[in-house]
Amino acid sequence: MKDRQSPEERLGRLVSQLVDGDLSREELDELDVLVQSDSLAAQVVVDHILLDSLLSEDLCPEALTALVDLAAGPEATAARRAAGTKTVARKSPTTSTRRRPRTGLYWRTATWVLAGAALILVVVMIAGRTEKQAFADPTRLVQAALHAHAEPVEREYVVDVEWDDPSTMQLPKDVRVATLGDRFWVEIRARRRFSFGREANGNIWVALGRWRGMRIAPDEVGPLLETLADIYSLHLESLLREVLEGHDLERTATGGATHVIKATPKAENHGWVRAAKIEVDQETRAVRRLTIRRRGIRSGFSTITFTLVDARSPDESRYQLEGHLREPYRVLSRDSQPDRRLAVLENWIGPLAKGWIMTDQQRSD
Amino acid sequence: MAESIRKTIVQEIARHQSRLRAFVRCLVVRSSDVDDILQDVNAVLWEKADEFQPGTDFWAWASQIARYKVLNQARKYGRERLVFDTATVERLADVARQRLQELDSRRDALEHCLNKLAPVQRQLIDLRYSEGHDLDRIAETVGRPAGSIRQTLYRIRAALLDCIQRRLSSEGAAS
Repeated sequence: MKDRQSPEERLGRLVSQLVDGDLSREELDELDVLVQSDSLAAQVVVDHILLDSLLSEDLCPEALTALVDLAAGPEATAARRAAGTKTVARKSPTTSTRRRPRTGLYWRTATWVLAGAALILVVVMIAGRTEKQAFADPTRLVQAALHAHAEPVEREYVVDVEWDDPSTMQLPKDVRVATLGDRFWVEIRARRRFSFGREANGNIWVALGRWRGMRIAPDEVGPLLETLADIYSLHLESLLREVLEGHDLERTATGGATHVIKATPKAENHGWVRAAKIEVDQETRAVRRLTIRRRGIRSGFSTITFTLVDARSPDESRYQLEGHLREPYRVLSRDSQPDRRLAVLENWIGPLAKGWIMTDQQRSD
Repeated sequence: MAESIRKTIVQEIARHQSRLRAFVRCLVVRSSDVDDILQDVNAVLWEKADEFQPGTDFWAWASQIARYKVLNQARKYGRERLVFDTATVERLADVARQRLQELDSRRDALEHCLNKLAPVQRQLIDLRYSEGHDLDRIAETVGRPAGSIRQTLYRIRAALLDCIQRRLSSEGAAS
């Protein structure tokens, strides 16, 4: 195989293996010879490795935070490893007719048969209409959506946010939420991608690339992260239950493939949500679009729209931090290098990181 | 160390961190070696901070230190570990230092070029880099042999490099 390859092909193969971390000792020796004898080979190697680095956007700022330790004092040392479809069968009306000779018995029998058939027809039509009405009922639709979202199907939504006040914080343009029942995790596709989610104990976890993660306890969460978590968190099951219990529902339209339901809070309901519009898929009963007008924890009024873009088999691991990381990953937390978290975040997302984690000083103020 | 120098050094190191990391990555065989080397590089930059003259070329100074660190590793481990020959490191370092002068432009060009990939190509790139799948997993996902995936990824990277170079050249011509 090696002999039949041209020099360019051979170099390409070696460079691929280098990038993929799959080079043997013999192949490395061969690559050494190529690079030393041909300046073009050196360029190919560097270009591909550099591109691989850019595509990975993997800064792994542990080295930088170790420097922060150095700058903080000589004793500081770096520690390690402290990260349904449900379809509704619609019954259709049936009829039956048959010609018979005209005898008295025939006519009496025919009358009974026709009457029976008419009765069946009426019963079926009433049942069909009732069923239609049942599923046209907005409460039943939301209940059906609740059932659909209790199934083991992961659904991904793209999130758009419109602030009433345009001067409120700028948000990333491409944000996706994966949901599985009440669980969710969020992927922010900015210049650097990162993901976050919330654990049962209220910790927010953040995965920065594949090698670094962190946990932020509820009392450490800074205002910016609190806003992000508030806006993008999507506990779909709970939200649908809340809609059922605390809102007046009205089916406003059925168009195309969805039923559209408007939800208005009942007078005694003083929650964050001011209004909601839920578009439920006619076949699957999944929520295809959810538009919520709400008041934020810190951020004024906004309209948040979640639009379904994908449904797939669930990957349970992704609902926790470690499911986003690869060995040898490192997880920073309150118990393991807590002060490094801010430096790591700043390196990943810039100065805005200061609004993500509260320092001890800020908490005590 | 004077407070102003301390502050300058930390700022410069932070500003060049991604560049330094990419530089070290270009000079080592195993990506897992990068962290340790970079940590050593940062430590040396800090220790020798007094030698740096503010206003001079920090990148030239820092990349030289990084080069020495990698060469030390290559001499130390020789055949024990997978490391490039020292002559190879020198050659790669010369190319990498030049390429990394324009890291930000390359990054911007890459964003543009990624959008020009065909959907199938973009899928492979996403599986490899966004999802972090290894070749075997990608092969299983798309139903092709791992060797074929490796080849295809190489061609996609080559196409991206070509696009980046054209973009950089046209921006250079335009400016």
